[in-house]
Amino acid sequence: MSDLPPPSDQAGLPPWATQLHQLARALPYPPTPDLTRRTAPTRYPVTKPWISWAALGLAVVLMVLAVSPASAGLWEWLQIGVVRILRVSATATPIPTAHLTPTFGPPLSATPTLTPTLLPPGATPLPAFADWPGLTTLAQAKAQTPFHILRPTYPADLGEPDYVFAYQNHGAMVVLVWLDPQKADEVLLSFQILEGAFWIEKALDKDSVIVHTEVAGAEAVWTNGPYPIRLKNGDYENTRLVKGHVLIWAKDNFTYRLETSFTLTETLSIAESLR
Amino acid sequence: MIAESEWINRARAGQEAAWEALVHQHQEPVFRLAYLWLGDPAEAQDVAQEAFIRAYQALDRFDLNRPLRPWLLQITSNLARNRRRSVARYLAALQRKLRAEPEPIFNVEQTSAQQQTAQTLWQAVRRLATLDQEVIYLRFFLDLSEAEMADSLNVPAGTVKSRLHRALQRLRALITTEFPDVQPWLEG
Repeated sequence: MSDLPPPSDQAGLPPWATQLHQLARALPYPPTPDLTRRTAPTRYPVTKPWISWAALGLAVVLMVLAVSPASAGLWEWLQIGVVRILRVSATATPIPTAHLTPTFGPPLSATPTLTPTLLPPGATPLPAFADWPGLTTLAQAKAQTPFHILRPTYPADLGEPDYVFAYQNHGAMVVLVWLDPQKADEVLLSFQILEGAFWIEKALDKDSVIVHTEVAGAEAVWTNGPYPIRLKNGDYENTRLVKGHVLIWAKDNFTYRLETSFTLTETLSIAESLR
Repeated sequence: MIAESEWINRARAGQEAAWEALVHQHQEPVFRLAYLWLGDPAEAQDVAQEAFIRAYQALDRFDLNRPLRPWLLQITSNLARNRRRSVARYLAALQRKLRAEPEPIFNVEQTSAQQQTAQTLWQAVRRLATLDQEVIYLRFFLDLSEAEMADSLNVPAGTVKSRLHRALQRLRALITTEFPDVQPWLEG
């Protein structure tokens, strides 16, 4: 592919870098399109810098007007901790609100079990976490994380998480994952603790429901999936599709996310049980 | 043989053929880098096109003492990463998932075992952090020297070395735990 000689400055790299290089160069690519005609200078003007800055300024103003939470326009957004929720709406649609009203399924039974009362479309399959860094054990996560890792004490038989992820860059992130005991390759519950500079964006379509509620006195938001989310922290980025529901709240310098197939009432009970 | 700086000067003067020659010379690595970032040929083509358009618009400010390719690849990487972050792309991915469409991964018929393993290697690299991906793509997939990488990334050569070292450590750990099929190809 390259008309330049392969790099010979392998000094300082591990011995297997040579094999890595050979393997990487064997990657098959799609055919390169002919871009010569598509990027010919006569097909587009060269803009003057002052025009570009004016256009940029106008774009910023329009963006601010468009994303104001007080306006019902093309975009609606709200923010909980480090999570920004964007809703794309073709028409002006206000965000619906409800307070502690279960939106899906029946309320908790007297003897709660691990069986979700709301059946999926929901359960997030384990491959959704396949590209998350920092797979570890709970003991190691406790040792390396600079804050106390909250864990739900409800339901009483939830047990230890099946997967633990702990990642640190600009701030720390811990994710605890419990699999569905009846469907071993599906996630029953996922609890995320995000510290500081992590940043999550999720994009909802116009039919998604957003419920405003509270967790231990802190403002919380409950949304239903499926939706894509992007997690960003420094040089780490991860995008995935979440099919279940999520409860999000923030307290002090932490943002918490509970992804689950349970009802809102059950999820609130789980959130309130964190110790 | 005409030096690259001469082609650039002719392109600056408005000679369309000179610019086309430069595009023709560099379009393959530019497109391939966009493809490595985005995994989709159509999106890669969009980004590659945009990279050349932006390069042409900034050509007057380009330092003729530098080689053109690292600069083009820098523009390409920035555009591709911005494209990955766009919300529109998330919604398109959502729609594909809901329609149960396959991921837009380019399939090559009758690939060799080495090519198939190379694709697995690429999957492993895509699991790394952005900065790690960047140095591995430039060095091992696109054959840039450390000097060219330093130019493209706008960092000292020493920084390139240390980034490569750390990226390779993380890649090796990932391959060992989650992509064992690649491991035999990296030994011996």
